[in-house]
Amino acid sequence: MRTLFILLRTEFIALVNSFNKKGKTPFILAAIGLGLLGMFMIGMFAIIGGSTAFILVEKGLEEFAIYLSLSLSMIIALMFGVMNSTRDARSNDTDMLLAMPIPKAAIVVSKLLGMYLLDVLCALVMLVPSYLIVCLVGGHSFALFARGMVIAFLIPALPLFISLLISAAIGFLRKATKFGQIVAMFLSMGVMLLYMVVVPNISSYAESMNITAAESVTKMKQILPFYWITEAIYSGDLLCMLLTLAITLIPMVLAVYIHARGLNGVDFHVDNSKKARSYKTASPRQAVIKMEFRRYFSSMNYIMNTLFGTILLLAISGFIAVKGVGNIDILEEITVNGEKMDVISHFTGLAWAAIWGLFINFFASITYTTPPSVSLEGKRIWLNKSLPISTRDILMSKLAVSVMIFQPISILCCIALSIAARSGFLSCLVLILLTSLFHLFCSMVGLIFGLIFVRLDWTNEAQVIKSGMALVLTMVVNMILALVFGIGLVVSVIIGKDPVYFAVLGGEIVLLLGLCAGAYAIITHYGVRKYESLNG
Amino acid sequence: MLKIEHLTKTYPGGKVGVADLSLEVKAGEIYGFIGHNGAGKTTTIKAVVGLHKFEKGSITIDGISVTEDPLKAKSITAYIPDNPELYDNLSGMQFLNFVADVFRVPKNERKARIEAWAGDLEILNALNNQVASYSHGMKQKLAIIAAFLHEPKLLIMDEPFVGLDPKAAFSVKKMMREFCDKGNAIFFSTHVLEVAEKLCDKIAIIKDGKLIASGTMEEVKGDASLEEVFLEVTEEAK
Repeated sequence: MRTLFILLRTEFIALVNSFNKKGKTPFILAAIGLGLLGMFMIGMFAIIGGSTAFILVEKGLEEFAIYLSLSLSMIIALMFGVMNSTRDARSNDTDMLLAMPIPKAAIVVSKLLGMYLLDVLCALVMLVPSYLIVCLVGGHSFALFARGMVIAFLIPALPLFISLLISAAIGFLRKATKFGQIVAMFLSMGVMLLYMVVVPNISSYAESMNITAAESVTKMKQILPFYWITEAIYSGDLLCMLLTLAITLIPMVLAVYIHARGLNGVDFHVDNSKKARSYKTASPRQAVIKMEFRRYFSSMNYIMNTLFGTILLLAISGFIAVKGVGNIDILEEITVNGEKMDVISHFTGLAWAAIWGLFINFFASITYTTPPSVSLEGKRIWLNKSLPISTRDILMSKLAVSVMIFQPISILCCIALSIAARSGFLSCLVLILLTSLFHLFCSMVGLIFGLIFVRLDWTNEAQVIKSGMALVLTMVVNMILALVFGIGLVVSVIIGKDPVYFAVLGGEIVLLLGLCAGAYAIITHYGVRKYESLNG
Repeated sequence: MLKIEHLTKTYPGGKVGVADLSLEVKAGEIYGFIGHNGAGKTTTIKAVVGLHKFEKGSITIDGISVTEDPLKAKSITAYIPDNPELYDNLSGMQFLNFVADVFRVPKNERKARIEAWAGDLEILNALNNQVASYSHGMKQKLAIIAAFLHEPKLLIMDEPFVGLDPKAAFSVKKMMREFCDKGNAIFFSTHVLEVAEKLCDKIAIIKDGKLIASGTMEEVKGDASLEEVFLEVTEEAK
């Protein structure tokens, strides 16, 4: 217990020290940004959980309300778990800790605690509003609330166990085959898609439910473990409580065991000695860009945090192009004078550039590889700095990766959407210009934040890819940018006059050109100086 | 080949890393740089290879200033750090190709050099494996091959023998001697005084950021052993 406390204290001190750097103001701002983002997420989940529960309680389905909130919290925890499972269980400090007289269980618990607490937070955020509504509106006793609170601390063990199991499987696949990364990527994207489909539609699902309480029990029994947990909370049934303990505590122990096995590392020997060695040449600039690409595609965390928006853009654009613009639900619902509007004939030319610009810019704002790119160099920064490569080229290679990943797909989508809407060449060209410049600027913002909030002393790359200050601020700023540029586009569509389209689209393109030039100047002056002052 | 004049480097907070240090490494020389932990060896080396900025003094490599024309200076220099953190997710071969590309080493030459040196250091068969799977010594060997790959004029090495097995250490010493016999120069730091004594043409001893002795091996140690001289001069400098 003493060693566990020491480990937790050390991790906490390291976390606090990461904020305590020279020039504290930006770090405080970033911490505020992180806090606001956290509060937004908590608020969003609480509203979804609370409103869904309210709808069901009003229909007399109190138990089902708890069941649904429980399922939602599991999906969210599983999403975080799967994202975590794509990273290596070992941190740089693992060997040092294993060599010390510290019980392995203490090391494992200290490493798992962060994941567990995040899952507990998810469970509490989703479940507490449901409990309160079931108790206050449904007229149940607070014993239900108390039971629910206790169980909320137990249920994260289940997604934690599943994610560690997946982590072990991915670890095996990664070392034994070439396909580990691909499997991990599709798995993570699958879980994220599940989240994106289920969570936003849960209230409408609750609203559309027309079943009796008895029928809801039959429905709940389809997933028995969830039903047992729900029963344990709702009725306090002893057998269900025991079963809940079993299905949460056993996975908890197994999770610790699996993580402990992962700490020692599993070595799958792959014989590459017979493989032909490649001596392919490239120019120095190409070599640096290739290196950045290799770094990108070798990190599952990096891909998952940046490629999802691009793939989603491609998927949705492809869907729209195939289904036809006139058959898209959201556009079908637009009415003019009480009658459904024929969008193809109503919106012409540049109007589509504005509409698709709004759509693609949203994905551009969430697709950036640049914020963690400088920090990811970590202790290897000596390599780039000691080689005869200009700092400008190094920074531009980071930008190039972001551009080369998003923009070919974005341009393809621009063309497909323009063809689908029959908007014409000029509209397509304007759309490509607008979205390309917008994405370029977002990437530059990411790189600037990446330089300001650089952190080279990470022990696991996830620390800078998933939760770095640079990433948080870039997310916030890019979302604001998408909103600000989106307002102009929406206004132009509402007014619907060609001169307004010209003014807004032209104005935004010119503004983006100016912003990109400004950001480029910052990168090549401040950025170069900052990079050259870094020491790993 | 390497000329350091009045180098002064102060860290934020006022700690002096190196104070008014001057030395010169001539073509064909192996120059050893010895001192206690924290004496300023790595600081000096990092200033030479462009990793540390410094506020006073000048450093030139073959007449090229490392502050005025850093890329040109780096293009004739190679550096091996004390703890070679390399790109873990690359294979050894991919890493060597990256370095060869940056220094524009033609395909045939890189192939011949890599096969020769990787063979000597016995990591040829491991080159297609990921760097992450390498031991410290293998990483060190890979960094050494990468450093020799473009045939630099000046090689800067920070504790190059740490982690090397005896056979590899012997091969590296041989490579170092042959490299300097071609008219190139090596400036390296070490704690292994026996190695310095046998390998170096000249030596410098640094303490608390200040150079306290330098010259040819005979000038510095005379008839005594380098260990005795080192202990003596570092005690005197207290």
